[in-house]
Amino acid sequence: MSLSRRSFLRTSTFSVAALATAGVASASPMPANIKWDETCSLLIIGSGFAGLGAALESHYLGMKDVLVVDKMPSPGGNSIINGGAIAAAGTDMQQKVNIKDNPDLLYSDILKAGGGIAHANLARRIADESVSNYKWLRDEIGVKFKAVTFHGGHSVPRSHAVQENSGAGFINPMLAKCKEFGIKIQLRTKVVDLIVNDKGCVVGVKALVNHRINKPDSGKVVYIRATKGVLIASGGFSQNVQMRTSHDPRLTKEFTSTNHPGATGEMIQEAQQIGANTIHMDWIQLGPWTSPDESGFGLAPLAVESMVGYGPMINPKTSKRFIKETGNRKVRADAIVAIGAPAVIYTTEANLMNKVVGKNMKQEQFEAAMKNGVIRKFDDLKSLAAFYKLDYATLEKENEKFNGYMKAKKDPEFDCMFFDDGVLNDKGPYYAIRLWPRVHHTMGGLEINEKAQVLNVKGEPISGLYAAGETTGGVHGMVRLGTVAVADCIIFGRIAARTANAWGGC
Amino acid sequence: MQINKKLCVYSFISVICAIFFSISTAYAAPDAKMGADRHVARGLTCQNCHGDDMKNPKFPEEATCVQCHPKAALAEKTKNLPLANPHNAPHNGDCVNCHLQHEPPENYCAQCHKFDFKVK
Repeated sequence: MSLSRRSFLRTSTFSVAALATAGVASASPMPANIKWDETCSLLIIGSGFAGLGAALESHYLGMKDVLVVDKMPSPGGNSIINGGAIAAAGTDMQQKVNIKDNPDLLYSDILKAGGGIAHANLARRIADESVSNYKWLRDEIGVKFKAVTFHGGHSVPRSHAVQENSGAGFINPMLAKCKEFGIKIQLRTKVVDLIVNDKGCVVGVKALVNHRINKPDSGKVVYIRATKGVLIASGGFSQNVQMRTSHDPRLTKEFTSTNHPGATGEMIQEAQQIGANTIHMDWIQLGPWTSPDESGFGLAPLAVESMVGYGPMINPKTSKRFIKETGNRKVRADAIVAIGAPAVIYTTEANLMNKVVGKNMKQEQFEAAMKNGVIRKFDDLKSLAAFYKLDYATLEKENEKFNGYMKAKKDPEFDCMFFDDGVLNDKGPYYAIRLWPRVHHTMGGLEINEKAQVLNVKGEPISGLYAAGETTGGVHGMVRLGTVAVADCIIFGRIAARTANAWGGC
Repeated sequence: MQINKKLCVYSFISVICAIFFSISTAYAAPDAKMGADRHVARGLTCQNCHGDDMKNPKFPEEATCVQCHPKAALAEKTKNLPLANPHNAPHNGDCVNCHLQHEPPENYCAQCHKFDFKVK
């Protein structure tokens, strides 16, 4: 809009603006004589795993008039670009390939990776409900699973990959079910205020409809009454540089992010304004498996997570291994950042074809990654060394050592995990990927209890306010294990729906 | 977010104005430049995309566009683009993310990908 038109509007709408300014103070006080434009039962902010999980669960509970809003022009948030696998401990798919797993093992893995600061009551819910949640997705929602894969930091392979190898493999069937059930998903709708009544209870929101994400104040103001409360399921704040550097000053804008552009965390701030507590905000995860040869999350992570344990990861400055390849995300990302240059991971064709292509990555995705130079093929180790400017003699020695460790299934240097089906990296062709971390997941966020109720700064539930998924903190602690977030989001989204359903309102 | 309420009001009015202005330019412009102008030149009305209640115009959904622009045909047209086929996207493939009709089109994919699409 031109300046002149803007200033014209400024004068001509002065009286209207003056009226609207009354009660601007913050997100909290309920404006007197508020006129609700719309009324729903449960208002769900966000249409990712947590939001859609809640919407669908509320349908199965018999709730009517649930409304899902999303500020973006497309549904699915960050979830639709997720890696496409969910953690579940003790499933039939695992049994089929002789993986022994159970909820206690998942629980202890989450707590171990969480470095002692994860909230045990929340981790327990995920561990206990992971299998029933997996079955619900498969049998009720129609998600199609194809393989159980391993992610660093887990004790056993338990990441159940969907056929699409993308979060779209969960989100699209969930959206289809919402459509079938008549659940309204209203896009381009940005919640700007949580509205609280005189009893401190969240009764609705102020929102901008027909909002355009890259035009901050665009859209028409509406007030939506939510008789069953408001669920914040709007994701993390990886893309909010101000917010992430305030908690971790290292994560400047120079660190790009794997997240969609909408992952900016405003709803966490809105909840803070009405007294919600936040926890673990400075635990921000970098993904160690992103490639500087593409942007965003990209394709590299799909391959890398199934290459660890099958091939060495090399420091470009020393041409030597430097860290446990199967270590958790923090261990690996911190080590690469400390080197200050992209690491290189590689494996033989046999391992790539056995473990990656057709498993954690579709054939088309593999071809795209080859075409855009994210995955590179080399006939032998010598040409690989030459391309990445590594010292061939040193690399050859490291490779031999790694093969020895693979054979012995024991790595005395870095304690890398090995798998029964690993093939020695003793002949080409080899496939290699460069690695440079990106901001991936904000472990911290709103504090919730095991019923997904948001807690205030004194630890008491805020009436009518729930939160689920990446927008919350506490579940993961220091380090989130791969594919546990998908379980976290959907399980706690569903829990929030149950809590809202049981709530009498106020 | 610290939302400035004045700005909200302004932008609300400006959206209404923008809609009004774009409708009028769509009808008036002899030298059709925006997507909406081209649609109007082919005989479409505002209601075709925005619904009958023009006081509360709706955003067109994918279903609106594919009535005349079947997605499979579009995907066929762009199948040989290097790197990716935008009309066969695994996510965020809604038409108006890129093909804005009252302002220049955008490459929505480029927010995250290095896809150098020239959007028409």
